[in-house]
Amino acid sequence: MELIPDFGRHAIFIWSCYGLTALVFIGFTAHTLWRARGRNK
Amino acid sequence: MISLLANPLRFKKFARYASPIFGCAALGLIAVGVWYALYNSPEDKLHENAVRILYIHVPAALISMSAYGAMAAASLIAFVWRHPLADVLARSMALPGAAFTVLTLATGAIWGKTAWGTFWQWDGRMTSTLILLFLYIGYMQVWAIIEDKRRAARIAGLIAMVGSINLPVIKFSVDWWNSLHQGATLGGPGFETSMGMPLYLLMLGYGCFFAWLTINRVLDSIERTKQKRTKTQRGASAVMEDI
Repeated sequence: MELIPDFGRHAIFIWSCYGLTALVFIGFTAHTLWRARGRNK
Repeated sequence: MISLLANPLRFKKFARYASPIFGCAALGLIAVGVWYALYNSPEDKLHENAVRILYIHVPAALISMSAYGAMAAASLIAFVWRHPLADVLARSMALPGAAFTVLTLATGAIWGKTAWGTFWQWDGRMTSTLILLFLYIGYMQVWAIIEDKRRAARIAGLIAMVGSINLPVIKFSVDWWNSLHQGATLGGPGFETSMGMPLYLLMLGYGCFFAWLTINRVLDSIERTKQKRTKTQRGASAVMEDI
């Protein structure tokens, strides 16, 4: 199993979608955890 | 259940257990789902590898619509029964819901480019999803602009409830009008199980993530209200001391 699979001519589109989604999820997670830490202080 | 959680203290108790459960479930389901989507699912005969975009596009669309539905339901509860937490709940769902709608539109546009050769077309589903995003933005703007929060809650609640008419339009637009989108195929004939696995896992994972976000945003809101109240009380006692 390759670490970064080759999706051929669609690779740029697929990685853009997954990258954007990851960015949004990580952003929300970081903000939520940061707020939760502030709440628990 | 709803009336039980309407009390902020009870909600806090519920959140103490529910938040880590939803958080861990989201992490696990999304990790396994993405692994299936990228490494362990076959290419589609027609769309080849581009089908992998659908594994994150469809769950995002599902959550964006469900979130708006839940927001409208919470607004209705606040409107009719005046539950103190219902408005807070509806407001807490707006930003994550809008983010999922942006993801739906962005991943949908990229999917459109691979499948239909165009990023955008004014077909029923795309247009009604764009309207959904505008409804989310309008809802959040009302809360941000109107200073009297009771009035803001009423107007925003109306936007949420009236805007929910858009949800069946999104769902049935592919049947009502000519569309680039295909009709409902989930679980139907020709739908392979190997493709269902990442899709269902990510649907569940997105749902848990959204629930985790919402619970934490409600807790934030309760905390903010508490701090404001303490500040006001302190201000009032300082004035009394001066007198």
